[in-house]
Amino acid sequence: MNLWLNKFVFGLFILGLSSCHIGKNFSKMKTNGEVALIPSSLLPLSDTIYKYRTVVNTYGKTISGILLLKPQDVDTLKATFVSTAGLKLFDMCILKDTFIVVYATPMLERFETLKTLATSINIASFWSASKYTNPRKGRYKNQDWNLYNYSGDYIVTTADGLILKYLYSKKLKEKFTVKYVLDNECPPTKIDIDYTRFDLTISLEKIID
Amino acid sequence: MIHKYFKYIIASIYIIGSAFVMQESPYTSMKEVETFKANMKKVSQATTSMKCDFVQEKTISFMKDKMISKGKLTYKKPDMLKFEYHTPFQYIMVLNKGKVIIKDNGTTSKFDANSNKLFKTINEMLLSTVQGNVFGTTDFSIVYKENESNYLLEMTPINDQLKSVMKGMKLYIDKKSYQVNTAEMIENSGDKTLFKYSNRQLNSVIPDNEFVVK
Repeated sequence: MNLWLNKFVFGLFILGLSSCHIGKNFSKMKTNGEVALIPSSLLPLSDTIYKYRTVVNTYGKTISGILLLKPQDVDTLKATFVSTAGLKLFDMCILKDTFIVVYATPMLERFETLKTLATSINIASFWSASKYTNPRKGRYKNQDWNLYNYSGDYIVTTADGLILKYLYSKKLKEKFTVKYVLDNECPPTKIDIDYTRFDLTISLEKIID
Repeated sequence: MIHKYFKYIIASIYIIGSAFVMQESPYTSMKEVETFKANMKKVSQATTSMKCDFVQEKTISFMKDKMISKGKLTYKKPDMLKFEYHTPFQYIMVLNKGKVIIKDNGTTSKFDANSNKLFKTINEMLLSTVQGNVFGTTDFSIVYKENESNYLLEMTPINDQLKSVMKGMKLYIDKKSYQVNTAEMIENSGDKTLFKYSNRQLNSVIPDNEFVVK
């Protein structure tokens, strides 16, 4: 049953990915050349398995479950998503530059869908922090931002680190926004990912054992 | 001195004894398969409705702890089934006359179960596992086993679609009541999902609107 729902939901993801309209433009951002700090991963390397209650909403459909994130080593983050009804939807290793799918439910075996999920997890968890290069500070809409070149695309974060935006390199079009609720220590207690160009939100809430 | 060792001896006896008690007797090939099938059919025909509690245990290879969910299951003949998860999260999944309704995080979604072959198969499989009526299936090969207290059906998918989803299923059926008390789904990765049913109420009056989700 859930497989069928997933097929539908993630089919919509693909439709969303293929649709293009102009998003917010950050070209007005001016950088002053100051070097900002490169963020570090929000998931400290340890034996801990980080568990997040995860709700995916897209075009009026919802799917929920538990996302398990386990840093394997400095280069590898294991991500497993299990639906509330107990069905494993995907199991992948997220690396600095790519991702490896260990298992994906047949309905998810589409490159773009898996790439969307892997990219969201990668960036929202700052997993590839070492890829953030050429950091600069700038202002946009009366707010200070840190701007990072991210392999040709851009990441901007607010100075307090509570909001992150992922921008396509082309005309700096916004792809998605991440909002964090940070407790005193990492990892964040809440992460909300909101896609700009299509109807997709991914909400993660840390499960306290 | 004797007193010191005595408590260790008692503890050892207790642990070894517990291990024997907890160990389930091994399963061997079922002797009377046709009798078993006939009895299952009788019980299935006599069951018009069922309510029970369930515990879902998800075992994932790299996790020490199991992920446990609990809820209530409601079934009404011929094809109405509701899984209502209460803890740790609220979630409802209903099969109602060929429709699948899911209420997840406050959002309700409705689908036609027959619109997809795999979905239809899983739908039928879920109903069959609750009813214990899996003998007519062409989607699985079944090995019949038994021990002192249970019958065990080891089901291996035959068709490629199901093979891509799971390695197999095991149904544990109580020898006295002929009711499924545990269902286990084994994924291709080796991860498992166990459903344990308890507090079963049979043939109570359940209105159809029990399977309506708003």
